[in-house]
Amino acid sequence: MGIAGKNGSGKTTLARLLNGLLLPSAGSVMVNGMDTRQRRHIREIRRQVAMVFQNPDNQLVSPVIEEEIAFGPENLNLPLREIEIRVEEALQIVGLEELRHKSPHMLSGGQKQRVAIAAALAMRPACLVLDEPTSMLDQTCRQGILDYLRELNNRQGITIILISHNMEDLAGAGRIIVLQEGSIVRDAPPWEIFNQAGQTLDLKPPNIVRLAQMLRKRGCLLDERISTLEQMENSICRLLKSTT
Amino acid sequence: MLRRMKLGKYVPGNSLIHRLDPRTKLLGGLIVVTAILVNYNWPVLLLNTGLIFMVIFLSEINLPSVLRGIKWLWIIFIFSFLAQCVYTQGNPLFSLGPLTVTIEGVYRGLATFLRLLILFLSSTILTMTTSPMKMAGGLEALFAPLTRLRVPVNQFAMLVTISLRFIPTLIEEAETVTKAQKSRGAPFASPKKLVRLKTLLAVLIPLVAGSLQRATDLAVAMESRCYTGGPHHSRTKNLRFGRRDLAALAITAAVSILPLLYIYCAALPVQSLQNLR
Amino acid sequence: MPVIEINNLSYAYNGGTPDEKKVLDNITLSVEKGEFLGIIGANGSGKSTLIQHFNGLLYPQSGSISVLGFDTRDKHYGSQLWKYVGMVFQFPEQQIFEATVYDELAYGLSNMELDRAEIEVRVDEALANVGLVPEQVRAVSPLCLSGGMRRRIAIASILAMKPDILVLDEPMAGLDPEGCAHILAAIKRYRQEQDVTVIMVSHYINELIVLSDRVALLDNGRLRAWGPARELLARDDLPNYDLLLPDYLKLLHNLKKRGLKVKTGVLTVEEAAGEIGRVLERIKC
Repeated sequence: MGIAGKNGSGKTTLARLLNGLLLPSAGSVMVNGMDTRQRRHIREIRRQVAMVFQNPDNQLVSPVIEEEIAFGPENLNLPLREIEIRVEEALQIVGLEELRHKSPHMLSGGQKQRVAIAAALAMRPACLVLDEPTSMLDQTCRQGILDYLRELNNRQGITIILISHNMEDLAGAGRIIVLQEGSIVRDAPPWEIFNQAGQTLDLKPPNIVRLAQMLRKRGCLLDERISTLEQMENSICRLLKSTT
Repeated sequence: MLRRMKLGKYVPGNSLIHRLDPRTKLLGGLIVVTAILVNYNWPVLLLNTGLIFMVIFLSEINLPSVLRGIKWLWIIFIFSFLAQCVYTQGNPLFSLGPLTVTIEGVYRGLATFLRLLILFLSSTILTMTTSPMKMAGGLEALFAPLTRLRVPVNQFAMLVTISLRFIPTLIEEAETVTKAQKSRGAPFASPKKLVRLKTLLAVLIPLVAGSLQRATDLAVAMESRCYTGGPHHSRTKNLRFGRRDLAALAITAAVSILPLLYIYCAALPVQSLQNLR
Repeated sequence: MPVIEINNLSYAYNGGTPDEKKVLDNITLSVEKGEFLGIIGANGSGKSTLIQHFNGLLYPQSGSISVLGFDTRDKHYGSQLWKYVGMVFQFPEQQIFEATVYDELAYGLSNMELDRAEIEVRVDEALANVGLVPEQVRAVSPLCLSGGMRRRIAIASILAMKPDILVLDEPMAGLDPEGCAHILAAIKRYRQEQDVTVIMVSHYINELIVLSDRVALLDNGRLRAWGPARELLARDDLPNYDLLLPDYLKLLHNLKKRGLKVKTGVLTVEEAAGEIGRVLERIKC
């Protein structure tokens, strides 16, 4: 799931409500049946809803990667064996085994963000909330992280909530929620959001969607639901085959 | 330039020394250092030097990389050696102008040199074979009794860990800000002290502001990973003080303390005899 | 007339030691007066190291670089170069240190030893240039402003010095689309008003290629290609470099690989649409 919205639309506040970093002033947040306002649930809620933040540098605590990943499980007071297993597992999932003894400042931004994800995964969460995880990264790392999240979602079955102001990041989401001035204005699949993004919603649609729109205007019969590069490529090829 | 400060940086490994409990290493280091500071008889010094090199050998870290850290310390070593040579009274060995080098001086100089070397090597090898987190855990466990006196040992250990994490980042940031201010003509080399001070502030203020932001972010990140500020149960509990550690401590203690006792015991009767007379 | 001439420039960290790392490898490049040069390349390709040679922060280890006609290795000249070459670092808001926006902008100017009246004029000008209202922000503390605003102030503090050559390292990184638009507008405006040379490093290739007269592609410290944006984008080996092309360019390259006769040398989404539309229509006929 994606959460979109401009700066100051309340995206970060919403994210922090999800794991009890902030508590609702009215209404309630339930995580798997647990109310975030109940203090006795808070540890379990934070374990289930892990977070990754925007600045890769400001969320890593430990001078060694391996121990960084162990930080969460340690706070859960798990036995040593279990911590070791989880560290191993998390390192493997993000593919950073060779870097385990390195120090975070020796890594690139993208690698640091992967460490942050691994550290979150070591708590075996049910849900991973990422608050603008790519905005400080360069474009190459950005793509890496996004591909990676999709894989996590498919393979490990972890719910991913991705917050971003960049529509391109959200193209792979199952659904997108658009926030405007603190309230939800749309909740729909990406292609629907994107096709309205320019007009009714004050957001910039991804380039691919704009391209599709232009081609449609020129009379090409392209599927309305195109929101990613692969979809576009495939439908153009299909179009070619049908004409020849 | 700042980036070269790699004194005793942790070298990952899986040697016998690496696997020792951090508490063993801390205590062992403490014993060795105390021993050589209390007494500098030759047997004690030589045994301890031997012990340190033995530890370095067992840690599978190559000697040059340990010694590389000494670089500028050599100057202090040599200076203190020379000073001792010259300023000690005793049988002259040879003279250079007004300076006379005495045999006793050379001995004392060598002894001082060895003490400094042991001091340096023991602390270096400690940090090189113990990861910062383990070290923090070890310190936390050693000082744990102090929590009863309401000393915030756990929080302090966390503080040390976070500092270790952010020092390199801060150094990098300082370099960038310095370059950025230079690009705006910051007079770092101005002859006026006040101007230089203001220029220094132009680097420090952004650094502090950045660190505050970092601290806020980090607090949120830690909280969301279930950190509550309490003791790190698993980290301290997971320290294993095994037979290996007992053996290591015993050897260290034997090497450091026994000669001391021996020397004292040997010296005592003589003195008491003299007193009797 | 070239304002920057680089000849066989190489640079390595930890030179002479076993962990020597070559960051720049034999680069030869020149930048014309009034030109907009875009520099693209993956992380660690040496872009940041290269641009720090332009204002004398780094001196060439081998090869040479002359800026505005003089060799930067001349120590006296190199140390004055900051007045003519404005350098906007990555995340420039980190360098802000004065208590008010006015003082922040005036910092570089007073280091240039300009008189007060001139400083005031330039501060207001620069603030207006980045789309801020001078009267509103002059006395505000930069710490109270949002990240995007602080970025604009940091950039204005360089623009106020009216450099002949403006160098920007990832000026839009981490900003939301609105923030990016402000920065881009400021750069364009500055360029129009005075006859300046702009050199910009950016990952936002789609924004960069529209602005640039020429684009240089760095890869592993080497200059792989260098020329007008269209020519560079038309190269078939482009996807091999670790760059993230905008989706529409990637699409064109992919289609071309599948045997479709599309030109890949396009700059904007509109052009890409035109190109694909043209090919599709021709096939239909």
